[in-house]
Amino acid sequence: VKRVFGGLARLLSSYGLACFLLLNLFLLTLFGTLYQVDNGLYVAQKRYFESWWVVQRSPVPLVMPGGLTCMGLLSLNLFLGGLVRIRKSARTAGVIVIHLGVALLLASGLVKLQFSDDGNLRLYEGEQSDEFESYYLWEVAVWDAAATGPVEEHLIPHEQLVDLSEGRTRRFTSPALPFELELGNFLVNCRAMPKGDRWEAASPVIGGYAFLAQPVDPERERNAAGLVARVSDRATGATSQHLLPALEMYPATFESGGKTWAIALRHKRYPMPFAIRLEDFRKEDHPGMNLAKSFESDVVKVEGGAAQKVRIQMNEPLRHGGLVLFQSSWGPEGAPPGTPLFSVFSVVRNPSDFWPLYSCIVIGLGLLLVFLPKLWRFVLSQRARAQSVGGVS
Amino acid sequence: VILPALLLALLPVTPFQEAPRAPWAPELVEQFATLPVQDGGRVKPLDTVAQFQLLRLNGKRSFETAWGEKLDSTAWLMDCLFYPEVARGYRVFLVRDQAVLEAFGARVEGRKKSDRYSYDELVSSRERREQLLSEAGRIHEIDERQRSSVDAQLYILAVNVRDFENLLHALDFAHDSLPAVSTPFLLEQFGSEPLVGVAGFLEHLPKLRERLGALDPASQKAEVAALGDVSQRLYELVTASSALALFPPEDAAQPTWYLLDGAVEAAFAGHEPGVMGALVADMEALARTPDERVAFASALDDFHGRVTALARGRGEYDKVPLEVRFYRGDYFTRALVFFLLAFVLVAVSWMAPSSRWLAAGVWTTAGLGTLFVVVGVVLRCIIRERPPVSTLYETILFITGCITIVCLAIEWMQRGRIALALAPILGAAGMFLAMKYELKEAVTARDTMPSLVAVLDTNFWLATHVTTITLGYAAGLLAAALGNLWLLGKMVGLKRNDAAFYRSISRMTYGVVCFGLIFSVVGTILGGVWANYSWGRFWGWDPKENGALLICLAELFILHARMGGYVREHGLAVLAALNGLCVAFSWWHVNNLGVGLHSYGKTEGVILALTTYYGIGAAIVVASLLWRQWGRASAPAPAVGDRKGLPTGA
Repeated sequence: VKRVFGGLARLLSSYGLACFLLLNLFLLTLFGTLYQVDNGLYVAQKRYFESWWVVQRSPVPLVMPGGLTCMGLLSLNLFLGGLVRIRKSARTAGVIVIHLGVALLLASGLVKLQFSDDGNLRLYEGEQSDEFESYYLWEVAVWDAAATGPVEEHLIPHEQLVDLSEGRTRRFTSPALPFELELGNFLVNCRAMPKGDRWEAASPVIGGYAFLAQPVDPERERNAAGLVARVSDRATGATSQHLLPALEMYPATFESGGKTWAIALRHKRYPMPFAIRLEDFRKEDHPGMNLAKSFESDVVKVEGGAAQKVRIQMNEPLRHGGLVLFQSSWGPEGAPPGTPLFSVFSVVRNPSDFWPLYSCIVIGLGLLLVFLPKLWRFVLSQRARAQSVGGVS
Repeated sequence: VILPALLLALLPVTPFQEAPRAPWAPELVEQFATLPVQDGGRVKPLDTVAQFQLLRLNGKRSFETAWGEKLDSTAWLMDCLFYPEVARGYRVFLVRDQAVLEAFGARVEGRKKSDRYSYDELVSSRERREQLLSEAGRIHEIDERQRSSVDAQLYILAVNVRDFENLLHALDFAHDSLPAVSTPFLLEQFGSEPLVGVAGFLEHLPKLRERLGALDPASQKAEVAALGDVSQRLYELVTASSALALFPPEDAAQPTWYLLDGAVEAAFAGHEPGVMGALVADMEALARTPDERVAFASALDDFHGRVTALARGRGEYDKVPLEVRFYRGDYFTRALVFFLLAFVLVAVSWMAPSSRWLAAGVWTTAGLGTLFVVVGVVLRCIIRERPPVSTLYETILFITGCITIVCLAIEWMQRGRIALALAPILGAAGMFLAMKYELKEAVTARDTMPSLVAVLDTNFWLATHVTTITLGYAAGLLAAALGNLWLLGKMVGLKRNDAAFYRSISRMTYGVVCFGLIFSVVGTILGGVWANYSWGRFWGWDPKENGALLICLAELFILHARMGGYVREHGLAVLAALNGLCVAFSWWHVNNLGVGLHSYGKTEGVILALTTYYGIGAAIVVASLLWRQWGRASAPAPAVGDRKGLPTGA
C-alpha cells in the first residue's frame, strides 16, 4: 500500500503531470475562446471551464479533462510537487513562493465560484433601493397584493424552477399560504402572446395567451424565462392557471383565502445591508465626439439612519459591507437632453475580492526571487565569456 | 553638340503644365501647420489633421502635382481651402481596385488596377456623385464583417470624397453674399454693395440692434422679418462651411471648440461680435487674399495669434508645436531606414566576420534605429500625457523598441553577434508593421493618438497592466525569433560544427522566456485586478484574458518541460517558436473574434496576415521536426548508456 501511495504521490507531483495539465489547460483555453464566437461566453464557460471532461470534435477528435478536473489536478500537482515534495533550500525559495501565490490565486477562484453573488442595481435619479438583482438566476415570489409597508414575500429559488421542463412539475405549499402552487412548463427564453393560428404554443393557452418559445440566446442575461403556475385553494379546491413570463412589469394575481395574491417570476433579488439612492448621473463625452469619456453617479449610501454621499465612477467602485458596486452602464441610450436617466451598477459579493491582488504580489516576488539571481549569473557568465574571447566584435 | 540634341529629342516629352498658383512660402506653411484645431476629441495641430486626411485618401503623406511641385500634407490642405478648383484636380484618391470605380460608373480608361485619381475624375457629374452616395448608403446597411472587399473600399472612398468636399467648401461662406438689400432700412444699414461673407454682417450687428430698437413696432416687425431671410442665408452659408473646429470658446468651461457655425452663433450671442467675430473676419480675409501673399501672411498672422492666445488661455496649446515637430521628425521612418541599413551591414559582416568596422557599423545603425524608436515613443508619451502604450498601434512601437533594446543588451553581454543580427531584422519588421498599421488607423481612427473609451482612461492601469503585458509580448516574440533562428540555422547548416553557437541561442531563448514569463504572469494578474476594479470580476474567460493566459500557460509549459528534462535545445526552440504564434494570437487575433469586452482593437485584413504568419511559423516547426527525424534515422544508433538516464523528448 505504501508503494502504491508512494507511486501515486510521485505521479501526482511529477513534472510530467504538470506538463500534461498545463498543455490540457492551454487547449481548453484555446478551444473555449474560439467556441465563444458562435456560442457565447456562458455556454463556452460551462462546456470547457466548468466541466469534468470535454469531448472535442475538431480540429482533431479529443476527449480531454474539463476545466474543473484539470484545475483540481493542477492544484494537487502544485501542492504536492511545488510545496510538499520540493527540496527546501535557498535556491528553491522563490519557486515555493511562486507556487504559494498560484495556490492563493486558485483558491480565490474557488471561493469566488462557491461563495460569490453578482447582479445589478438599476436606479433612476431620485430612486433608492436596498437590494440588487441577479443577471440570470430566477425566483418565483408570492405576496399579499393588498399589503402595505414592508411586504412578506414567499420565495421559490432558481434551482427549484429550472428543471421543470418536458412535463415535469413541482408542488409547493406553506402553512402561511391558503393555497398550493404547482409550477411547470419552464422555458429558458419565451414571450407571452395572444395565441394565434400561425404559431405553435409552447405552453397551455391560458386566457387566450400562451408562450411562444424563443431561441436560447448565448448571452445568458438576454433570455426571458417563462413558467406556468397552477394554484389550488386548499379550502375550496378551486384552481386557476397563470402564465408567468419573466420581466413583466405587473405580477399575475388571484384570489384565495379571502385575499388577493400576487405571483411573479423575476430575477433573483439579494438584500443589501444598506440602501443606495441615486442623486445624479453624468455622462461626459470627448469634445465633439459621441465617445464616452466618463460615467459617474453621485449616490447617497443610507445605513442605519446615517447618510453618506459617495461618487461611483469607472475604475472607482464603492466597497462597503462586503459588497462592491461598480458603474456599469446607463440609459436610456440616445435619450434627448432633459430626459431622466438611469444608472446601472454591477454589484458583487465576493469574499476573495482582494486575494488576486495579494497573489499577484506574492507571485511577482517569487518570480523575482527565482529569475533575478539567474539573470545576474547569466550576465556575469556572459561578460566573463565575452572577455575571455577577447571581446571579438 | 548634335549627339546631346539627338538624345534630348529621343527622350519622352512630358507636357509642360504651368503652376496655377505661386508656391506656398515655407513660413506660411509652418504657421498654418501649427494652428490648433479640435478633432477626434482632442486639440491637435492642423498639420496632424492634414497628414491623416491625406494619408487616408492617398496612402502617403505627400505627392507631386502635375506641374512637378512636391506638396506635403499641410500645403495640400491649404490648397484645398484656398485654391479648391486646383485641389479638385490633384490625383490623391488611391483606388486599389478598378472594380470600385465600376461600381458607380466612374471607370477611367488607361489606368492601372491600383491607381490614384482626382476628385474631378471620380465625381465628374452630379449623377456620378449621387450614384456613389447611393452605393455608400446601400453598403452602410451591411454589417461591416459581411462587406465584400469592393464594398468596403467603395464605402471608404465615399467617406473620403465627402470629407474632401467639406474641405473644398470650408471657405465658401467668405465668397457668397447675403441678401441684405431687400428693404430701405437694410440698404441704409449695409449700403448698396453686396454684403459678401458674414463678418461684415456681424460687424454691423450692434448698431443694427440699436436702430431696430428705435423703430416703431410695425416697422420693427417688418424689418425683423426681412432680417430673417438674411439670417437664414447666413445660417445656410456657415453650416455648409463648417469643416474644422478652429475656434476655441472663450469660456474655458465649454469643452467643445466651435466649428464656423458655432463661432458665428457665439458672435451673434454677444453684444459685440467680440473675438469670435474677429476670427471669422480673419478667416474671410484669408479666403479672399491667397494670391496677395503679403496680405495673406498678415491675415494668417492675425488669425494664428488670436486662436493660439485663446487656446493658450484654455491650457490647450502647449503640446501643439511639439506634435508638429514630432511628425516632422518622422522618427519611425528614420528608425526603419537605420534598421534596414544595419541589416545590410549585418549581411555584409557575415561575409567578412572579422571586420571590426562592420560590427561597429551595425552597432551604430541598429543603436540609432533604436534611439529613434525610443525618442518617438517618449515624445508620444509627452504629447498624450499617457504611458507608452494605450492603443494597438503603440503596442507595435513599444514592442519593437523593447525587443531591439534587449537584443542590444544581450549582445553587449554576450558579443556573439546573434542578438546584434536579430535587432535590425526585428526592428525593421516592427517599423514596417507600424507603418502599415498607421495606414489602417488613418482610415478607421483618423489619428494614432485617439481619445480613449472611459474604461481605459486611467494612467495607473495603462502604466502597470498594459505596459507589463506588452513587455511580455515583446519577450515572447523575441524568444520566438531566437527559436526560429535556431531551427532555421540547424536546417540550413549555418555554423554546422559550432555547438557553442546553438547553445548560446538556447541560453538566450531560455533567458528571454523566463523574462517574458515574469511580465506575462504579473501583467495577466494585474489585468484581472483592473477588471475587478472596473467590472467587478477578476476573471471572466474573455478572449483577451484567455489570450494572456495562453501565453502564461505556454511559457510555464516550456519551463516545466525543460526542468523535467522533456525538452532540450531543439525542443526549447520548437516550443519558443510556437509560443510566438501564441503571442500573435493574443496580441491581434482575439481582438478580431468580434466577441468579448476587449473588442476595441478590430482591424480589417489582419486575419489574412495572421494566417500567413501562423502558416510560416508552423511550417518551420514541422520542417524542423521532420529534419530532426530524418537526421536521427540516418544517424548511427547511439550506444547503450549514451543518454545517461535522462528523458529525451523532442
